Amino acid sequence: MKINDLTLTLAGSGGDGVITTGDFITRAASSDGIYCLTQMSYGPQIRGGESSIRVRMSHKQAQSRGDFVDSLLVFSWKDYKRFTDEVELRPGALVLYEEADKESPADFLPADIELRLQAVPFKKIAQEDVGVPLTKNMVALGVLAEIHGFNQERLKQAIMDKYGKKRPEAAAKNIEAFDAGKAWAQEHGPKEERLQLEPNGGERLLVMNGDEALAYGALQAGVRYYAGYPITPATPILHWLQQELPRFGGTVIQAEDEISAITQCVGASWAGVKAMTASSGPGIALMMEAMGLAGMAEIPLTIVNVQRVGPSTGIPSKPEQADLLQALGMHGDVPHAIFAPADVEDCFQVAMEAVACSERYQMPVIILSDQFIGERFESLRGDRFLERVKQVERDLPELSPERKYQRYAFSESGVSPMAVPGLEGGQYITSGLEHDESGAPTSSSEYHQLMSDKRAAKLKGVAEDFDFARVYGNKDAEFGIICWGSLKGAVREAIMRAQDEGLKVAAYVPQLLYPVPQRSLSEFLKGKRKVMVLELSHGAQFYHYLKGYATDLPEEFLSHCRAGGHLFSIEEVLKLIRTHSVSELVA
Amino acid sequence: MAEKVLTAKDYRTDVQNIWCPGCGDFGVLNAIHQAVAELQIPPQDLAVISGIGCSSRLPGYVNAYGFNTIHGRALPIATGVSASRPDLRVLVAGGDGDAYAIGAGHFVHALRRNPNLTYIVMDNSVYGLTKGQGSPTTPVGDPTKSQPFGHSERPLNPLAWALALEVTFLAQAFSGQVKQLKDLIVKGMRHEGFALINVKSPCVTFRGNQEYNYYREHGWNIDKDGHDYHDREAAFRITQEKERVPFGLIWQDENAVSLGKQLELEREKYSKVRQYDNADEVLRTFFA
Repeated sequence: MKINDLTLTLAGSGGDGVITTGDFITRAASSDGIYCLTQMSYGPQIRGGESSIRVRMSHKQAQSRGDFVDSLLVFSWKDYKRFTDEVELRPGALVLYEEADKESPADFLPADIELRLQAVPFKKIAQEDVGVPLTKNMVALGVLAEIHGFNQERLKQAIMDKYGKKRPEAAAKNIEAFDAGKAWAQEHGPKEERLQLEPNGGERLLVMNGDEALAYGALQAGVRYYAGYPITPATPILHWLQQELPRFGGTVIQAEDEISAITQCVGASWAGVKAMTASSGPGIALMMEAMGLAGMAEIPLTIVNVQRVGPSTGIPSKPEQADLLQALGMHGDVPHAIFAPADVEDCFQVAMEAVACSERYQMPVIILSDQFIGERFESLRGDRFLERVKQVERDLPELSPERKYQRYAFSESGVSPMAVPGLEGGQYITSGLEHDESGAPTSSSEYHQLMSDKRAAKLKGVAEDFDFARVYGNKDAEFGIICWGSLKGAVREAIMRAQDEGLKVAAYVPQLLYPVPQRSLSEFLKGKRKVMVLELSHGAQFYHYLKGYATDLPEEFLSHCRAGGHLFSIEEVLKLIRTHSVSELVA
Repeated sequence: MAEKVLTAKDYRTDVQNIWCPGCGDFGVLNAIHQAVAELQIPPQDLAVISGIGCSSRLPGYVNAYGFNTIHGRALPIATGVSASRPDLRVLVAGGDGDAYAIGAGHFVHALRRNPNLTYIVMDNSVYGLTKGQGSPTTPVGDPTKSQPFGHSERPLNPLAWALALEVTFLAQAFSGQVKQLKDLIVKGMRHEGFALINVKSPCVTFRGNQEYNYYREHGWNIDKDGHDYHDREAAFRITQEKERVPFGLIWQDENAVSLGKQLELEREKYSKVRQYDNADEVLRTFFA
């Protein structure tokens, strides 16, 4: 029987072309209706060094990276060494490796599981049959395509798409190498159905990473000003918007630092243009002062934090969920909102919700994404995007020459219509100073109380308008899991498996983190006797946040957390479910 | 009906002024009121942006869209305003601490980008709002609250610095000579790009009342003295002047491309390779 779920890893040095190969596999499979979740991993070297790519291919939308690797291709064992703790090989997994590599595979592979090793003369074929040593990755592509039953026409199309127009000769050589690899596999490779991925015959899927999805969401939400400073893993947002915003009359500026990036956005938004900036933990730390200004002056602003392992430089290429308290904190009481996407597709929607929230409530809104969501590529259905497009414009005042415009007029919702430059009679003074209704500075503590009340009143509206969360599993389960962000994938798959085992469990994954989406949370908590919060934060930030801010929590409210870097596996979550929902099995 | 002719009075506000009697910033404020009236800028099309400091309270005193922002960040905020709304006239105001200390990093890059705005730095060589600490332009030896035995760090030379960074409009003025200052503001606001006007604006509270006399005695009107503001070498010599204090237009480069212009060119370039009718069509670029 052919398979419908396959996880593949390729490892080599920077010049081996493993990233290109994995990219071709992802694009070809996605164009043929197979869902991919693709992750790249690099050594610390700027150029060269080790690189690896992991592609999980599935007939259904993959929720996680997959716990085990079914097929591994190694160009160089020394390069592979760096990735051994990221590659959990499934017993019986196929391992193809460069024949000419002098190292002994046994030195790099786990001794306790049985594997199917096969040496392949990638280098020799590229050199002798094709005459271009650099094409060995395309030889490998041909070998993999033959063994795993990938759509070969689509793969050749991917090669043509990349080289065909500009470098037809390179395209021809790459195709030749592909065919040579295929021919080798036909003669020497394993021919078993259980290695072959069944075609899905589905619709053409699109491929994007979370940062791109988020940037596209921002474009659709009407963001027309973006300023950012390069930082891993948020930089793809800058790259994508630089390509796309100018066409829509927008502005993208690579700032001299994160302070400039966010303050430029404050200026643009104050002038009436929707603005967004993005960074990661350390850069966000530099932006905190300006967030306070946006809070005090009630200026709409969207700030993206693609979290990485911290504090400080930490591990820039790995995810963590430990910037939550930073996002909550700020200086002074700054009513604001925090949103969190849970996968790549979510990034698109969360970006639009965040921009909408910032515009409607005139406040800074933070999006907490993370490296695993931001930099991984996923295949997605195109029809799920455009139907969700959401644009919200901020309230403009009705101005009249008879009465002076009151920028910060008190209102029940806390929102006062905001004039933008160019509107006659709307001139007012904006400042980071506490102010009266007109905007004039005041040091009256009475006004500070009144204005603090006004600003905080918005949080009620935010919690009502933007309470959205995903709930999975059995509604009536007595055991529940709460998590956020990229943990959703493994949790969701673990729940599906737990249900197959007859276990009752439910999960709650809020996209609005602050203010607490109490309505949906309370609904979820109904009937729960035990709830566990899962997170990649050594200090259990989300758990403590919920304990301090949320209500209706059950007495048995548990935390399961650890430092970031290594994601939770499906199996790990499943074990927790088996342990904690056992009482229900008895019942 | 004929358009109403705007006068300096139309740009005043009723926000309570917190400056000390005798503060040089009053002269700057007057010059701004007169300059924007001369230019007949409708108040709603004028954005006045500042950082933090005594002088940064200025936006509250101008009938315009005013923004008294945070310390040192007036320039990037104004860059955001200018780049996103090229239809507005942008005036930036602040002090020497705001511009040359905490905001120094942004100052450098604002000059490099050349956004279309006029930056008036009220240089009083002291931190007034925090009551008398030394600033980046305090002369060596001057006692301050933070250096009671005399300021030990050398002052920086904002004129030479800006000129070296290829500022496209550079002037210096004295708040005690409102007419010349007003003329320079008008010229600066007509300049397409970044105009820096460093204004010697005495702080009578923390630096005594002798500075007005000093600038009157040592002032050197380079406008009247026939300085050619297109002569870069002469401009550099002026920035190195030790005996006299130069007042007037030091340097102007009308040919430099402003940020606004650059962004327009960029939009044209990208529009050629990104031929969509709307944002929905961008989705197709993601299809595998």
